[in-house]
Amino acid sequence: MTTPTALPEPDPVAAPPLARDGVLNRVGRWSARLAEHSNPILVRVVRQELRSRAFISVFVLLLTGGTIAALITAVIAANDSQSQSSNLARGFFGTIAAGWAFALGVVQPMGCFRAIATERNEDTWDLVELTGLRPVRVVLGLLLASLVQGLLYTSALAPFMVMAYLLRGIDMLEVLFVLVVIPLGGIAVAALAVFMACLGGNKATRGFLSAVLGLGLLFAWMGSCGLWFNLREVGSVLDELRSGDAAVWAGLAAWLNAWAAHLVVMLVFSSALLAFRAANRSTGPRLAWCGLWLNGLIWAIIIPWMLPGYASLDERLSWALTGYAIGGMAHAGLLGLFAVSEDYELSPRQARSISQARGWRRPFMLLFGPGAARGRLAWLALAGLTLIVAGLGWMLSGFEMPPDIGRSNRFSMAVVCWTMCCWLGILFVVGDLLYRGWLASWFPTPPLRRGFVLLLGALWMLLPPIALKLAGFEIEDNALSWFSPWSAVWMASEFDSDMWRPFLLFSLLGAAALLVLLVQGLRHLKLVTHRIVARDDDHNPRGG
Amino acid sequence: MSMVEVKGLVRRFGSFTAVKDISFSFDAGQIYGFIGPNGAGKSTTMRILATLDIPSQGDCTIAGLSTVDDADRVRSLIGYMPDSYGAYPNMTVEEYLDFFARAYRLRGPARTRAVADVVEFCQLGQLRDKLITTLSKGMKQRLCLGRCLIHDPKLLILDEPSAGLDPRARIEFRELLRLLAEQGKAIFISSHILAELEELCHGVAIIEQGRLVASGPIGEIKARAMANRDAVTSGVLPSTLELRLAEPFARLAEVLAEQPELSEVQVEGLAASARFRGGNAAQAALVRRLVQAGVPLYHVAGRSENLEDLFMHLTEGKVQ
Repeated sequence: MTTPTALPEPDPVAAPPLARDGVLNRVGRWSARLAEHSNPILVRVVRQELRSRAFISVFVLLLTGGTIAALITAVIAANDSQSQSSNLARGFFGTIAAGWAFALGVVQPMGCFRAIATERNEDTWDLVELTGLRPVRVVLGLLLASLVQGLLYTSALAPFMVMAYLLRGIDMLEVLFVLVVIPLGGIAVAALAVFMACLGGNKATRGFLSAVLGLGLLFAWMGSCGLWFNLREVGSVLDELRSGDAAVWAGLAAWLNAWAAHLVVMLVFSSALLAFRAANRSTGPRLAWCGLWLNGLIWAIIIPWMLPGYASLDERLSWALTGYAIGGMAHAGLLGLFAVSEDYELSPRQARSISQARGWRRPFMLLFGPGAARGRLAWLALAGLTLIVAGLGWMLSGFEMPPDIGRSNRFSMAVVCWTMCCWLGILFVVGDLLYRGWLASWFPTPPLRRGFVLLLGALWMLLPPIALKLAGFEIEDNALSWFSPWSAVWMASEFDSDMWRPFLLFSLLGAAALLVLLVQGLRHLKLVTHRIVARDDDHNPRGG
Repeated sequence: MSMVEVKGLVRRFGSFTAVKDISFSFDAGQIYGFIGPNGAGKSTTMRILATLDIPSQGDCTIAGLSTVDDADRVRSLIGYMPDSYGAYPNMTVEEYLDFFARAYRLRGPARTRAVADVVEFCQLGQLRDKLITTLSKGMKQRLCLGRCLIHDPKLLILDEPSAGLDPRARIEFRELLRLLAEQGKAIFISSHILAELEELCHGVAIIEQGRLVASGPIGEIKARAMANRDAVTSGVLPSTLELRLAEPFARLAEVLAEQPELSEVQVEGLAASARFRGGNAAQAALVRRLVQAGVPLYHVAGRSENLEDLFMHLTEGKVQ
C-alpha cells in the first residue's frame, strides 16, 4: 500500500512577472482595469451587436462594396491611359466616403434608436432600471457602443481610403476633412437618435419617430453625397484654414463647440426623459441650458476679439453683446417655459436632492433645484443676466439714446431684449394664474401647462394685431401694439422718441409681472413635499 | 415590521381601476403566493412593489422603505422576474449574468464570484457559453432567476415564473425557491398553478377584479372560509360529498335520494358520492339523519379543502 503524498502547491494562475514590468504588461493591466470599469451598457451592446446579423451584414456589405469599387477603379486605371488619376481618385474616394457616411450616419444611429426602443418596448428596460444604473450611463453607454461600431465600420473601409489617397489627386486636408466630419456627424446623429427614442412614451410614438428619423437620415445622407464627390468645393475653405485665416478657424471652433454642446444637451435631456418620475429631473436640464447660455456669451465676447473689423473693439463688442442678448432672452424664455410650469410641491426624493445638498451645492440648488419656486428664480436669474449683457452692450455703445438711433440701433436692441423679458414675464404670470387656478383640472401636469402657455402666447401674439388691422389701425403707429408680444417686439426694434409713454407703461406692467414671479418664487421656497402618485392618464402596460 | 407591507394600494388607469385598495404583508423567509384570474391586477401590484410603477393611492414598503419615495434603495433589495423572461438576443448565459452583475456595480473578484455562485445555484454550469435564444424555457427561467439573485436581494418578486414549464422544470424550480426561503429571502410569487402554491407558500393573497378577497396563512384563510361558509355561501355553491360504508346497505340510493341537500347521487358498492348544497350545519344534520336511517357510515368527506377549492369558493370568476 502506498501512502499518499502531499500534492505540490499549484502555480499561481497567470501571475504577472512583477520583476519585468514591461510596457505590454502595463498596457495589459490598464486595459483590464478599463474593461473592469467600463460602462455595462457599452459592454453588453458591443457584445450583442458584434453577433447581430445587421452588423455583420453591413460590415460585409461595406467590405464587398469597397472591394468592387477598388477593382473597378483599378481596371479603369489600367485600361484607360487617358483617364486622369485625380478624377479617378476623387470618384473612388467619394464612393468610399458615401458608403462610410451611410454606415455611420444612417445605420449606426438607427441601431441606437432601435436599441433603446426595443429595450423600452420589452420588459428588459424594467430590468435595467431596477439595477439602479443611472439613465445618463445608459445613454452614454449606447453612444459609446455606437462609437465602437463606427470604428469597426471604419476599419472595413480604411484600406480603401488609403488606396484612394495613394492614387494621388486628393489633398491630405480633404481626407482629414472627411475623417473628421463623418465620425463627428455620425455621433451627433446617434445622440439625436437616442434622444428621439427616449422621447417616445409609447410604442406607437416610437414607431412614428423611428420612421421620421429613418427618412430624415436617409434624405440627409442623400444630400451629403454631393459633398463627398465634390470635395473640391470645400477646398477653398480648407486652403484658408491652412493659411491660418482667423475667421475660418473661428468658424471651425464654433462648429466643434456646437457639436459638443449638442452632445451634452442630448445626453442630459435623454437622461432626464428616462429618469424615474419621482426623481430630480430638473437640475440636469436646467444646468445644461444655462451652460449653453454661458457658452453663447463666451462666443459673443470672443468673436469680436478674434475678428478685427472696420470698427473699434468696443463697437464690435457692443454689437455682439446686444445681439447675443436678444438670442439669450429667447433661450432664457425656454428655460422659463419649462421651469415655471413645474409643480410647487416636490416628491420626497426631489426634496432630499435639495435638503441634502452640502457646501457649494447648497446655494447652487437654490436656482437649479427642482420645483416651480426654484424654477422661477432660475428664470429670473437668467433673464436678469441677459438684461445685464444687453445693458453692457448698450453701455459700450456710449449709451446712445433715441435721437441718435438713426446712427445705430443698439439701444433698440436692448429695448427689444427688455420687451421680450417683460412679455415672457407677463405670459408666465397670466398662464400660471390660469393653469393653477380656473383651468387647474384641465392642465394638471407640467407638460400640459407648457402646451397651454405656448398656445396662450401664440394667440396673444396673433389676435390683437389682427384685431387692430381689422379695425383699420396701423400696427406700427399704435400704442396698443405694445400689449401684444409680437407687435411689441416689432415696435421695440424700431423704437423712436414718440414711443416713450406707452413703452414706460408697458415696462411697468412687465416689471410688475417679474416682481410677482419673484415673490411667488421666494414664498414657495420652503420645501413642501407630497407623494408622487400615478396619473390617471398613464398608459397601462398590461392594457394592450 | 414586516419585510413587505402593502397598504391601501390603488392603481387607476383612466376610468379603469386595476387595483382597488388592497393591503397585505409578509415577513422575511416566507414564500407568499399571489393568486387571481387573468386581469385581476396581480402584475400591476407586482410592478408597483418592484418600483416600476407608482400607485394612485396607498403605499408599499419593503424593509420599511417606500417603493416610491425610496425607490433607489428599494431596488437594491429586490430581484424581479417579469412574466416575460426579459432575456437579450445574441448573448451567452455568462455574458447576460455578467452584464447584470456589472450593472449592479459588482467589480472584479466580487463580480466573478457572484456570477459563479449563481451559475452553480441555478445549475447552469454546462450552459455558460450557450446563446440565451437557444435555451429551453426551463433553462431560460433558471437563468432569469439567477439574474434576480446576482446582487443577493432580500426579496424576490416572481410574476408567474412557472407558466409554460414542464412538470420536471416546475418541481426543480420549486426546490430552488424553497432553498432561497430557507436562506431568509422573502419571495412573492404569482402563479396559476394553485396546487404548486399550496405546497410552497406560507401565505397567500387572493385577488379578483383588483380587490383583495382574502390574505394570510393558507390554513387561516381555509378556517375563515369554512367558518363563513354557512353565513356567506350557504346553499349557493354545491360541493361533492363522499360517503363510505362499513357494510352493504341495500336502500342506500333510496335514502340518499330522499335528502333535499343532495343531488346527482351515485352509488358504487360501499361508496357513494353526491352533490351537496348547504353549509356546515346542514352537513351535520344530513349526517345525523343518515345515521338515524341506519346507514353504516364510517367516513364522510365534505368539500375538499385544497387551495383550488378555496380559490373557487372565494372568487366568482369575474374579470375586469
